[in-house]
Amino acid sequence: MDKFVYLFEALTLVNLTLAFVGVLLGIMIGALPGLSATMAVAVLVPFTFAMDPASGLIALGAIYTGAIYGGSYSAILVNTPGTPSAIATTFDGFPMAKRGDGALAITLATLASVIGGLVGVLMLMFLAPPLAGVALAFGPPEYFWLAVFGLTLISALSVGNLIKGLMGACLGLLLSMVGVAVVGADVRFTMGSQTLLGGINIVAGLIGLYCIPVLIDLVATRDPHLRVETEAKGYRLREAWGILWAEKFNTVRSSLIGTVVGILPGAGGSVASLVSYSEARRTSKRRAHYGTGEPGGIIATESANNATVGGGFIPTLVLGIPGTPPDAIILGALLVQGIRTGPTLFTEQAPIVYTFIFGLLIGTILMLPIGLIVGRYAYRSIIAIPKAALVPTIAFMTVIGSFAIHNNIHDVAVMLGLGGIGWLLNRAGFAPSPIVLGLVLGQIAEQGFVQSYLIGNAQGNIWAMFFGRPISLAIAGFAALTLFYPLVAGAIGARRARRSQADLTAEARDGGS
Amino acid sequence: MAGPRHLHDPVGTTVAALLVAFGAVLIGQTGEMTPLGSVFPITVSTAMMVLGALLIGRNVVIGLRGGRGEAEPEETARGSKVRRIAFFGVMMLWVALLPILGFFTASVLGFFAVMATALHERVGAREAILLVLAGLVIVGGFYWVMREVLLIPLPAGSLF
Repeated sequence: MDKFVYLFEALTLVNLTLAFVGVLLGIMIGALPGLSATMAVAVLVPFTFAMDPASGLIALGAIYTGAIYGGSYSAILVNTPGTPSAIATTFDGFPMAKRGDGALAITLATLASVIGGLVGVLMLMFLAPPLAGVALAFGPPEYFWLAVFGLTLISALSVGNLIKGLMGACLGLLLSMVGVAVVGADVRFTMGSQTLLGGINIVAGLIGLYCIPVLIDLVATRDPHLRVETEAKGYRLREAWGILWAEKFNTVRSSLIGTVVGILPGAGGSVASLVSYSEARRTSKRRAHYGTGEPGGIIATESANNATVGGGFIPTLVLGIPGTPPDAIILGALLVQGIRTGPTLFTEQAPIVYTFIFGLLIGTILMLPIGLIVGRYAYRSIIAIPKAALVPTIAFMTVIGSFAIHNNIHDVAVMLGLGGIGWLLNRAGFAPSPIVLGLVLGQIAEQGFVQSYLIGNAQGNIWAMFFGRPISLAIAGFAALTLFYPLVAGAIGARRARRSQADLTAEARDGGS
Repeated sequence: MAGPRHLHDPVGTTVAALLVAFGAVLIGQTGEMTPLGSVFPITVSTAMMVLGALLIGRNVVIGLRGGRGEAEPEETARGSKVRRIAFFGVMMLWVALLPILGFFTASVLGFFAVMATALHERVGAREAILLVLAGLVIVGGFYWVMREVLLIPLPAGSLF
């Protein structure tokens, strides 16, 4: 309980102001596709050098958590994830906005993000040292199976045509292989172009595949971008709380998944949100509605991706291994401030660490009022802006956002090219989400697979490497369950229906005789 | 009763055939790679080709049985084709002109060209002025933030 002394140190006016401004800036940067949480933190790091360590860290943590949440706005309102963490938010967020439930979707995303963020921070505060061990327990095979688990979501996203979904995922995986190979450094599929050596950037791919097809279809008709709700007005906070209460297990499970995946270096918010979405869909009674505007989908992804913020700080602070890319930048800022991370950090420099954690907690709580107000304003703006201004504005965002990734025009060209291909493929029935999933998870899957193969080969037992480790087996089991559960559940349901039909027939026969 | 025989989902089948050919080309390129670098591309390309063959076979069988053609998604089926092509053409031109004219100039031109493709009704003078002002503020504002605040080196081109 001695930790709570530091709560008052975090509650100074300076720290509260920094948390407020940090969350607001983070939300705005995160909401713009192409400007990621990593960029937001990187750009603002130099400003924190003049502050005292705890205040600087609070500002960075607030920007980070705000940016992860801000990604949900563009995912819900324009079908383009502001950050890769919000990919799965588009699945249900945009359909909800299109049918006139945009305000509810944003309120749900805000509440889920705050709860997920709080779970992640509380885990960081109370369970950081033991949980840091999780990062070390995950080797290449576990990463491989985790990526496979994320890919099983394709079965859910390919309603109507699983073969097309799987082909789209293969195409995405192949796109992720362009450039220098993650293991072995082979130059692959660059068509002799030096600009493709670095590969196809995930964010450029996301913007292109999600946003350009929406714009192409938007200019073609007079229809408004989003339907305006006629009856329900305001934040729809009461309704959102009701849904969140009904989805309490989903919220807690997704927050825990987000925290654990956040601990894993390199996995990040996109994997966390995809895995939790997959689990939410598998366990939901309304699984058939997922992907068509089901609130449970938004709750799962948004609580998971904000939980990765706290989760990512666990290996960063305890082991000095950054859990996510923004953590790597914050780790650099810690070193500049003269703070040495490691297991003794929580005892030797407790004032700074706990003030920072409380600051993160305050920033996450502040996200609720700020998020609701900014979200409401963003939603109203998107509805109020005429199409003739909205389309060029979004188009400009796609250009500037994809340019800002590496400050070069080739990313913009890749974004546009993928957008055009994505629209044509969509027209042929190949949805963009499986392609994006393949692109995002491809490198993690390949690196895990090849490294496991190499280690297994050196040990003389490749099969044991993939199937002989308990965590691997558990993740592989969940992946298989996600993939085949609908089939198994369907078969069991059909069998029960047949049995009850047979019973009814038998009863009718007995009654008649 | 079976309907007339035609290829089920012709667009999907054509794309599947193209992806099968694409997979074959990619496998052909793996010859120059090390076994480590080629194992994943070969596996994934093969999977894509097998799935493509399955899809083509399925569509042919459904077509022979006289199944109904697959409906195109609603969003892509409705609306003006000319506007769609014009939008994509403008975007390509916009990107091509970025290094030539400079980021700001190309973006202002691109912004208003895209605006023209998205306009479906006549606008009055007041609304037109507002749209132009809004465009200049949006492009100018973001240009300033990117260049002066975030210090992103935007291409200057021949103008700015």
